[in-house]
Amino acid sequence: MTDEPGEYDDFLTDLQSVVAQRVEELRARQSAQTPSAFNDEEKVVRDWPELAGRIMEEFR
Amino acid sequence: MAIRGSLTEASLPDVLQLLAMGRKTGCLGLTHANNFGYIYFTDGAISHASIVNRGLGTEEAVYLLFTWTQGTFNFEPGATPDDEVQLHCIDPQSLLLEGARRVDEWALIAKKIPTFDIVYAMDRHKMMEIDRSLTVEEERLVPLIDGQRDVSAIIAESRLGEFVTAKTLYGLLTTGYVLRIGVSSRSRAPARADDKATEHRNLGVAFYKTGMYEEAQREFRRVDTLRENDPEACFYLGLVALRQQQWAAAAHAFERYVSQQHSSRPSVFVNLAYAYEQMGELDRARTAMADALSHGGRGDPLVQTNAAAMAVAAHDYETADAALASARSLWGTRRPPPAWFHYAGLAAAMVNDLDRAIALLGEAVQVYPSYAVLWNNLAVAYEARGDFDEALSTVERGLIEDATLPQLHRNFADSLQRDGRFDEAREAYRRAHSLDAL
Repeated sequence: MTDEPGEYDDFLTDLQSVVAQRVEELRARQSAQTPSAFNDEEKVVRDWPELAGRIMEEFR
Repeated sequence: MAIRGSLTEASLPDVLQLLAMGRKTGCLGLTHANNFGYIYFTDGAISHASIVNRGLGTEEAVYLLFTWTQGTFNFEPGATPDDEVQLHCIDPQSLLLEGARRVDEWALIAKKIPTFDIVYAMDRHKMMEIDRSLTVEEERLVPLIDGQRDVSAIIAESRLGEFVTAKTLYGLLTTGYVLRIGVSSRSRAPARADDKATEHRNLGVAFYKTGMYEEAQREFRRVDTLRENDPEACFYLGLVALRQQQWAAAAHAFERYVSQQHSSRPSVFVNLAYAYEQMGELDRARTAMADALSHGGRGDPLVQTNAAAMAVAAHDYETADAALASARSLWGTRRPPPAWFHYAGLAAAMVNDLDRAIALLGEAVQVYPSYAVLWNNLAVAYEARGDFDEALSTVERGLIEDATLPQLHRNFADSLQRDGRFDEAREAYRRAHSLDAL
């Protein structure tokens, strides 16, 4: 056994950068996803319930 | 829920007292023969009243409406007057006593002045015989009682109002100062079709605004007969059909407007798009909305909001977000309507900007606290961000506004489950399920 940095340490350094890259990718993917609750129509009201909010009653 | 009834069953004073005690907000529409009047209420106080085609002020209109003892009434909750009308805050109780006095006096006046097309003239000899000084109102009326003007013209020119003019005239008739000459030529001539169409149009608009859609439809069909392909009649017939959920009829009315090549109005295309959307014709709906935007709608925040609602339905949240941002800047310092907040919150959440969604929906429930839908979606946004205590209290607040919204019970159940309150959660899931099945 030696205290000098060897092949295994290089491997760990490489791994660290790969892991960091993967974590960043995961974060980016997570932030691009819609919160699942907002896709659940049993939880969220999607359509505005009043007709007045969906049409224009003024002749313009 | 609208309240309808007959004035022979419940008098106007009874209805007014009921609405005042219940601190109601909305519009009370009244019909009497071919006449229509309406009274707007804000928290039980009268904010505006009018009788169609009569041009009366609020108090005068209410007093005249007291004389309508036959006909129907219809209360449409939540309806508010147009922006341009002058608003008042009158306690209905304060009008009841004077109203009752006027009803009695009108009964007497009507015996001598049965219609407003009668023409009167001054009897100068009689005036010389009787030595009596004239009142201020009489001084105003005497120059107008000239054997030419009928009562309607005298009312219009004296600016004393119907009641004071008729009462003063009644006094002059009783003392013999005034003689009946005949009826005005205007009343003998048949009304011009265009004038009649305008009267029906005014009635139709008033009926529509007070939620009396069948009556509005009847009036606009008359306009349509008198003025073929009248653009406003097409528009309102389309609106009535939308209100009655007759989507194909609505689309037909708006298509008729477009095919007549009347001046382009984005509102017609927005409504046509909504009718198509409800019919499941999404391509045509998108085309109509594109027409709305290209016919002046880009600068109209309501058109942009409706375009955003359609984009949300198509899961195109980036487009929706951009249209809503445009609408908000077009409104400037004015407060957007609740539907804008709803779609803005939804679009922000769907592009995973939960902080913005919470800020928007938080603002929405401050300015529109009675909309349970806004509370519900705010609670979901809190839950998605991991603010579970906020989510629970928001759901509970929403349930106070509307305990019939299934999503609120579902979210309440989820919060209870998270807290380990399993029995209560099971009950809430059950309520959500049974409301959803309705």
